[in-house]
Amino acid sequence: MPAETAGLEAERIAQGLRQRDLTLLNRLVDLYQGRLVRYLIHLLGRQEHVEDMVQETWLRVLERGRQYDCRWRFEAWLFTIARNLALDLLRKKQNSSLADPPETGAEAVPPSAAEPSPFEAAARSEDAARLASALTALEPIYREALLLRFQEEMSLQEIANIVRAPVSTVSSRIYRGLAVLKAQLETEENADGHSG
Amino acid sequence: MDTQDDQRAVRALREISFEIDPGLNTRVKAALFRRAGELAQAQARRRRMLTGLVIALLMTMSGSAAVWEAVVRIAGFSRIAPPVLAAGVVLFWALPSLCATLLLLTPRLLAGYHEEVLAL
Repeated sequence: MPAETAGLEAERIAQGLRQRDLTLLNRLVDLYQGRLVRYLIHLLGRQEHVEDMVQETWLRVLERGRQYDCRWRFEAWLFTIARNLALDLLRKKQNSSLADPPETGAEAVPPSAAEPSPFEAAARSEDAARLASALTALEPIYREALLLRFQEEMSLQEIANIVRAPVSTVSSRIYRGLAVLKAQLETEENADGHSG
Repeated sequence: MDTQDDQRAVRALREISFEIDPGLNTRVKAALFRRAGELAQAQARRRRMLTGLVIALLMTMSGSAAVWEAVVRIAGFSRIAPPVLAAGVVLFWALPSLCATLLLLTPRLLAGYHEEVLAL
């Protein structure tokens, strides 16, 4: 989408949000729901609580619509709200990995073996399936950075605004996250090669 | 960093796509509709209270002016000094009226404000 069109769209969204226009909000829900769900699953690493959080995020969009600054893309603002809610939830669960992230390693709590992680269940190709377990084990901050960069196709600056971190930190998170995923792909491929 | 491997990892990442409960949008929209109604009600209540506050303040001011007129006339017949009279009117009429108005209306006004803005 060209920048000018995006700007106009953002302006229209801002105006509608100021007026608490429900037609516009319903349209936004249709347009962004999938991306919001995906973002929250990447942040939380599970599907539990995601529905509640999605609902809470949209209610905040309705209530705080006046705070939306149309210089930014709507999804960036939406994700910021969702992120704050997710952080609150994680803090309540005494898991501060997002609020106070360790910058030295990309490894995290291993996934429970009982059932497939949301990433494993959502893998749509062989490579994606290989990647899924690594994604589950990855720290949320790295998953988040990878998602925003490669699936949402946001600029480093936009990501930095959402995660409230310097661009260099964002960049390093993407680099590290990608390194972990690549290593996983290689390992799984080698394992498949040996077993096959 | 190997670009080909990077691209492969990114492609694999993009091939992870979640299925969304089809009822979720409907539930979210229903919640938005409910909350929008509540917010509109709170806003209307707040507007009514604000109007009430302005009217009450105007009535307090005009009432005080009328009382002042009456007191000045009465003072013409009595030997009370004008500053004492003025202090009396302010202390026993204007201030209590103002306090009563504010005490009655401000908490409701703030409650409406809280409901609409601060509870967000």
